[in-house]
Amino acid sequence: MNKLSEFDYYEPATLAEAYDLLEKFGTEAKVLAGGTDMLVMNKKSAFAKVEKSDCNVHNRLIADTCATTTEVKRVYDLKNVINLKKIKPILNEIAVKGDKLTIGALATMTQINLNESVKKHFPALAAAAGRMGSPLVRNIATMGGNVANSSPAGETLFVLLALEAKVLVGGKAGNRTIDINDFFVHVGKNSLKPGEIILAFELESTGSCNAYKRFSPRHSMDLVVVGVCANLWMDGKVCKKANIGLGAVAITPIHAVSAEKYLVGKELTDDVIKEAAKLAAGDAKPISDIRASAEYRTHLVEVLTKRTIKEALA
Amino acid sequence: MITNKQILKILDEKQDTFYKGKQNYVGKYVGQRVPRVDAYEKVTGRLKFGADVELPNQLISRLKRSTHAHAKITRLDTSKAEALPGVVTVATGKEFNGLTGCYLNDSHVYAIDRVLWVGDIVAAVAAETAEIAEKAVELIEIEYEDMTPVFDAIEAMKPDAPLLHPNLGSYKWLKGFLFPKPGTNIANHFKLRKGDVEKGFAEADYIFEDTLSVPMVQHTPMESHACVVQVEAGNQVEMWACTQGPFLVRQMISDAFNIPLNKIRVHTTGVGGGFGAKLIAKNELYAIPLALKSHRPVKMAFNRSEEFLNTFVRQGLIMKMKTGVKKNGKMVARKIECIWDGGAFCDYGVSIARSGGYASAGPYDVENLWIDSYCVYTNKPSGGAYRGFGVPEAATVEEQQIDMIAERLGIPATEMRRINFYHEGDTHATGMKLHSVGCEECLDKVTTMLEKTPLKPKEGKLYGAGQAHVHKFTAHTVAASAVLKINEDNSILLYHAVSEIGQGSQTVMQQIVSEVLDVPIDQIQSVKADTHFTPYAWQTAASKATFFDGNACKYAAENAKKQLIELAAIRFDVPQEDVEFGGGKLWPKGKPESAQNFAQVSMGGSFPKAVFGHGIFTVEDGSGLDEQTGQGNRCSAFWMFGGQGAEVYVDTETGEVELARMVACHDVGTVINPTTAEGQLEGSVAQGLGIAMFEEMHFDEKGKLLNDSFTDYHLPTTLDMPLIETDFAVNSPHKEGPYGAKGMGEPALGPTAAAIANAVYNACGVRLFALPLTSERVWKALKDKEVQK
Ligand SMILES: Cc1cc2nc3c(=O)[nH]c(=O)nc-3n(C[C@H](O)[C@H](O)[C@H](O)COP(=O)(O)OP(=O)(O)OC[C@H]3O[C@@H](n4cnc5c(N)ncnc54)[C@H](O)[C@@H]3O)c2cc1C
Repeated sequence: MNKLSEFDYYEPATLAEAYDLLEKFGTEAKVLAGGTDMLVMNKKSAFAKVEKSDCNVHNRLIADTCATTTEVKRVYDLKNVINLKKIKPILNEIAVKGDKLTIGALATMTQINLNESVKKHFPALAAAAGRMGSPLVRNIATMGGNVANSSPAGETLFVLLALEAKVLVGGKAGNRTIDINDFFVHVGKNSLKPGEIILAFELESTGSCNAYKRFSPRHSMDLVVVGVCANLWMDGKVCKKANIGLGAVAITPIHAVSAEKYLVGKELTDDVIKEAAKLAAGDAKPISDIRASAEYRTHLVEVLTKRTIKEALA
Repeated sequence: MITNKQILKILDEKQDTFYKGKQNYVGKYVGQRVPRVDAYEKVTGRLKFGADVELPNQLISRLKRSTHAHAKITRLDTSKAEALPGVVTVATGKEFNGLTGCYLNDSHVYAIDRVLWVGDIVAAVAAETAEIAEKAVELIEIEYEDMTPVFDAIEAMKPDAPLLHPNLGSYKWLKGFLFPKPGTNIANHFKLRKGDVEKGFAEADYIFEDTLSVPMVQHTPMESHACVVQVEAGNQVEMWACTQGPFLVRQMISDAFNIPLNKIRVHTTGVGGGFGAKLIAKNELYAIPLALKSHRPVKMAFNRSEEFLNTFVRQGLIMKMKTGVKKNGKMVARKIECIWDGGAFCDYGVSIARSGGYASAGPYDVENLWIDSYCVYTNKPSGGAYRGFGVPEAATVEEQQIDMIAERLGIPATEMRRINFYHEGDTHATGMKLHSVGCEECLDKVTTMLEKTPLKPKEGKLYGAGQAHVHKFTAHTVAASAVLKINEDNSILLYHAVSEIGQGSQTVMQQIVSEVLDVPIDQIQSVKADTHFTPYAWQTAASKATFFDGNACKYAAENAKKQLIELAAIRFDVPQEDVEFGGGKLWPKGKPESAQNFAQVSMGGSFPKAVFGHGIFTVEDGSGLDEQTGQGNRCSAFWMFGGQGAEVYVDTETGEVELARMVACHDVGTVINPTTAEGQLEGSVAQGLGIAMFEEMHFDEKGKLLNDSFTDYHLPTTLDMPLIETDFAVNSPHKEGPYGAKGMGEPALGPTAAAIANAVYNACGVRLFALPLTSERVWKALKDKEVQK
């Protein structure tokens, strides 16, 4: 690992200032939250040769003299780092208003894990926030960073999917709300527009019961090999509606769509749960890598779905 | 279920009663729970490690590594790198083409005309900053012409396999100790022949045959390799390095660059773990050409990826084991083939093939033995010494087979072991007479610990317990020496070349000296190894420091004591027999009121004399082994014994194994410091758990290492650790050891993985013939078992 790149560092005091900086630096700007993804990625990043065509307006006229120079740059470089943590009012509040729970983008995993409202209505999210990384990481890592980073294995991503979160984003052009189902596009890609940042997440408690489980070889400091979140709306023993979020089994976090459909209107007996788990396994599209084979991941989806549903009901 | 609190209570009780009145020596300092002398500087972060050394005007270096596993270098152009502002020098194998190594000089510094693995070093850059050096590395242009690589050790042994070292026959090696096969990829073939193995099989009631493979793993010391080197006028090399083997580093530098030993000075810094990875020169070698060329100090600190690719790894092993056994469980014959996947350089691995080979039949007296052990070149990172030196790898096969045989014969595995164990006075597989044999006591204590407080079943999981037992050799004829000086203020300086790598040797050496001189531990200060000033020691390896260097320190202290008594006799004007010695003082018999301390006796008054104790130690009757039979007089100064028991829960749906408790009892002779000894066992459980369940270096089909970072090379965390209970044998101190001590660092790791594997079998009936026991492997095996039913 290397030292960090040399970069210019900004601490905007207001959102407006932050938006201005983002506009000014465009693709050469990055916002900083906990830094547990960004700074590590920068330090780990390899150097690579970039052929640069030095054709400025002047010598473009005589295209033949256009000089190519070789520059060596980090693949994941940092030029202008804009720290969001000094913005007032601070973006890490967890607030309850009626049935609505708003979690600021800068709320840390530890904050979320310990918050009473989160624990009461969304135990799945509290558990995920309490499981990712290690205590040291959880104390600085934010949910905004986790979601913006958009790794398919992201700890809270498949949970937020099952919990039907809304992502509140802001930018120069104003604020908008993105449904979590429309947020993730590909590995590391999401539907944030250039210059936009995540401000908060909104969750609505509508009497559902939920649980989260993940598998990884180690008991801490390990990425999700398979993650499952079950969020169920029950009418007595009958399931009115079901969300099953899956992590690390596709290019983005996904819903186990056929399992969700199957559960609706059924009494959740052991057999029904077993069948739903099977269907969830069918919904997963995992790859094989050194962490696990696709076959094993598929199997884990089945086991974890079964266990997660049971835990949600318990 | 037994709780942590209960365990702590058991340990407390043990502290009080355990070491009292038994055969192991217990003195005023030896056998006592003395706090580690290096604890304060470590916990306060003050100890300077390799990378902490900074010299004025120092350059930072980076390495250009090969992207091909086996290829000719057809073009190497460093001009663009050299032209980058801030780059001071670039070095390549064209200019520095010397070979070096530990037992076999097969290692280049930088690739000369061929690269031998993905990660092999093609060039090195020294620059004003890390960033510039890193950029310069990207500007080095290399063209390769691919040659056929070989990654599998069995393939590499075939007659038509591509050769990694076509000049093997012309290399320098330790003759009579190693038997390389020039014209092949076999860097060493060790043979052991005892009795008549075919006759043994003919007499056997049952024959068992098993094959198992263990992958390459890495030591992953917390501190990565780092050194700073400067070359002074007259080509005097001065180096600061976090090494376990300053004298070996010096030797390898001397061989590679043709510099006499007295012009190379290696200072040892604090060492943040070694486990064998820091025994020989690696980064130390790569840094020297840069310092020679730039005339400026050069720092070379490795990152984690370089730890995996450019230091040592533990060799992979493929082991075939055939055992003939009588109905009652007595083994009559064992035929073993070990194939060690040695990587690109086998300069140290050759020795593992040898000793790992002769120990592969385990701590058992088997009349007829036939062992072939091969160290084989492959286009992968180089293998070398790793805590246990072949014993943990071989035990994974050998100890699982014992359990399998016992099950088939319908006798308890503990009985199977007991029937076959070595005893005091037995002749070892290698022909040496055994002394200090504690395996039976260890078996008893491990069994008792497991049975006394077995863990409770857990809902939805299968529970199982299992054991494994090993014996471990050490070095034979290696030299150890120590010097002790008494200062004007009565403080004592102790010079020996054992590196404090976390094992607690500094404390142990000082305890031994304290015991001899009857002075408090903190009156003594150990000096870090420095090849110009500390006396010679072979290496901090083979669990030999307490025995060899401990004896040297003991002799140095006894020598100083003798000098003090002689001086006191003159000073007090009494015969030497009438000088009394105690509590760090000397006095004439009957006159305790005239007592003087060491400084007063030696340096006080009108005839000051500096006391300078020295001690040297080796094993006089140590010997090599015969090329054809592997037999010899004393191939190891002593043998250590030990066993461990594991208790696991298996989740049959996911295949997940939870290691719940580990119990360990080892025969290390006299326990010099129970606290540090327990620390060795607890550390070995962590390390062994990693090896058993997580660790494996994964390569792609082109030989590229896929997990050269901790993101995907998993080590256990505190949350993965089991409860641990430890104990020691007390009835087998060694008559030549300092106060009866032997050693323990390596055997501590010996049985761990095998015990876990046996426990997993006993829990769920799955016997895996490969490590690690990942959840996925266990799950697949469980599924296959279902299908077979
Ligand atoms: C040792 C270790 C262990 C880890 N273990 C896990 C784990 O188990 N599970 C897991 O999911 N992750 C894990 N991670 C990854 C990381 O900690 C998480 O993804 C974390 O939530 C990222 O949050 P952050 O605040 O640190 O983000 P940062 O690193 O500050 O930012 C990450 C990215 O998001 C962008 N960003 C941050 N905030 C916003 C915002 N409000 N709006 C728009 N963009 C934003 C940044 O520009 C950057 O591109 C681990 C990391 C480490 C170092």
